[in-house]
Amino acid sequence: MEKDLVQQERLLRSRGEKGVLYEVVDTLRDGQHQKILAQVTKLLKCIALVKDQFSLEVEQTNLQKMLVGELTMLSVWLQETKTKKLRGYGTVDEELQHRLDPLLEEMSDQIGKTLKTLAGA
Amino acid sequence: MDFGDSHRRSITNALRYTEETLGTVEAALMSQGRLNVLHRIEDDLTPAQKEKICDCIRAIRSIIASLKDTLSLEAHAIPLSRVIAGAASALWITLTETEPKRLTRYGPVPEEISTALGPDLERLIVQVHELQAIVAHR
Repeated sequence: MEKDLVQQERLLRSRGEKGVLYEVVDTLRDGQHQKILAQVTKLLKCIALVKDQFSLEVEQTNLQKMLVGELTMLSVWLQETKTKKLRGYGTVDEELQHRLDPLLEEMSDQIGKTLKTLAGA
Repeated sequence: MDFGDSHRRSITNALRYTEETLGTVEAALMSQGRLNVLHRIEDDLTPAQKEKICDCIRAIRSIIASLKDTLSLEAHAIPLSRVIAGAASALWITLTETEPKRLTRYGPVPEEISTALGPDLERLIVQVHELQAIVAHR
């Protein structure tokens, strides 16, 4: 719950987010941002109260471990998108194979490099 | 480039997921060991490592942009209000699933825990409802 609230807080402060294939468009009215942010703060305070009342433990993780987990999943996902796996959804156009697979491979290489960088932590 | 809808959908979803994951990674890199209430990320990376990771993220984003153009993939716009409303609904489900009467599926819940937890959960649920109301009030 806390992780979700922090994520919403980030989106509200940045007034949306723009990627290559997705965009979170800020459709809120001016006053709504502040009201929602105030509500998020109230919820986080409630969570802090519950934590103290029940002596809940803080989940500790390190950045290196977290990033390795995210990127390993991503690497698997990209392998599953290669055209030989897409055949499950029907015959794959040969041109698609030539255009898609090398770039997916390039992305996997970049992820591999990042994982090596992380292994040096 | 023209190819089947199911392939297009599958590729677009995978690349969107990739982008979102890169966003998560970037946000984590920028959080610099931010202190949250119940979750803490210890920043154990050097500035040089972070720089290299950011370079890789930029390279992957540029490949995604290239694939978007080559394969004529469409970008998807989501209103922020819907993202927040969706998150609020998910939070409400999480909270109701934590109610003492539902916790009994993991074993008996001591009376004092039920008594103490119930009002706090109720307060959280009320706040989530307020959040939903603010987003719905356009």
